[in-house]
Amino acid sequence: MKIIKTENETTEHGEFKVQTQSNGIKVRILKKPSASYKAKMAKRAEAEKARQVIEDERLERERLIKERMRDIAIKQLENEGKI
Amino acid sequence: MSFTAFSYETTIAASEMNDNFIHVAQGNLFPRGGSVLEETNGVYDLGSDSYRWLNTKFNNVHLSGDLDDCWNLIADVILSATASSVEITELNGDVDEIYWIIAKLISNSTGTDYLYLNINNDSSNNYGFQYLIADGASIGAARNETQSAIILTGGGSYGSYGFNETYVYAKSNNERLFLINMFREGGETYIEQLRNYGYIWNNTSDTLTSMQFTVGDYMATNTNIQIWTKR
Repeated sequence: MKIIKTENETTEHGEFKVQTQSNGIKVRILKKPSASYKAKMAKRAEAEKARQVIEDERLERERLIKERMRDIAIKQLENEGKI
Repeated sequence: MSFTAFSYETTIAASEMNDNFIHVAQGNLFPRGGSVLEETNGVYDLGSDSYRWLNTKFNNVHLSGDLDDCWNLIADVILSATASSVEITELNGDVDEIYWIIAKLISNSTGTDYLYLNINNDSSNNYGFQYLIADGASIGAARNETQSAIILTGGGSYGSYGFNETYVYAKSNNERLFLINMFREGGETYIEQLRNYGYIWNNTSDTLTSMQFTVGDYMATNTNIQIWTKR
């Protein structure tokens, strides 16, 4: 496909470059985001960051538990003379 | 319809000539039309459903349209400057049914930044995921049912890479399904994480018409987003 038309467009989200392709599909590229758009994206990034922190803590807890269980299992097997 | 063999220094009737050319014209061999056979562009076929060529031999094929029953590249965005989002519109998920997305994110952020995908501008909590994650020697998994977007990949420091492959089942009357393989924060010989996601968009009624690719900050120059579909 080829780009048959390129236009500029401004909306509440900012300044876009809009490309129309020969297959009818349009590509809208946000070149200069508006302040409100940036704030919205920052809010979403914060939410994901908070979710990730909780997730990382949970994973770390799981890792510690598994490690401790492994240590206990090794000690038990050693006491039983199996390893 | 008869076929006339031409003989040296022998004239033939126009109708016989016509019969001969009907044999090849059934397949629209010549890209010409009208009463004076003027040149045409993108009008005539080579062969037809009823009159097919047996085999074709080419060194290269240069297409400006689609290749039937194959994956076709329908959008290929390579950023020539930084951008905050890329939106692909005029899609029709009911017709195309399956999309294959390949995305290479180059981070323009100093910290972790994700490349998100939204469908039809829906940024409500209508997405859910289950993922497997490999981070160094650690392996983890998580589920979430209230996501406002689909995470495709992510970058870390400035210039780091995120790489993604996503298959989308896009037809309506079903939840829309996404199967994602990705790594995030790659650079030099280091990769921070490998993730395998199943995502779901709970909208079953709306035709998928657009995809929004967004980041928290900016995508760097040469970030590449491709969309393929089978046509």
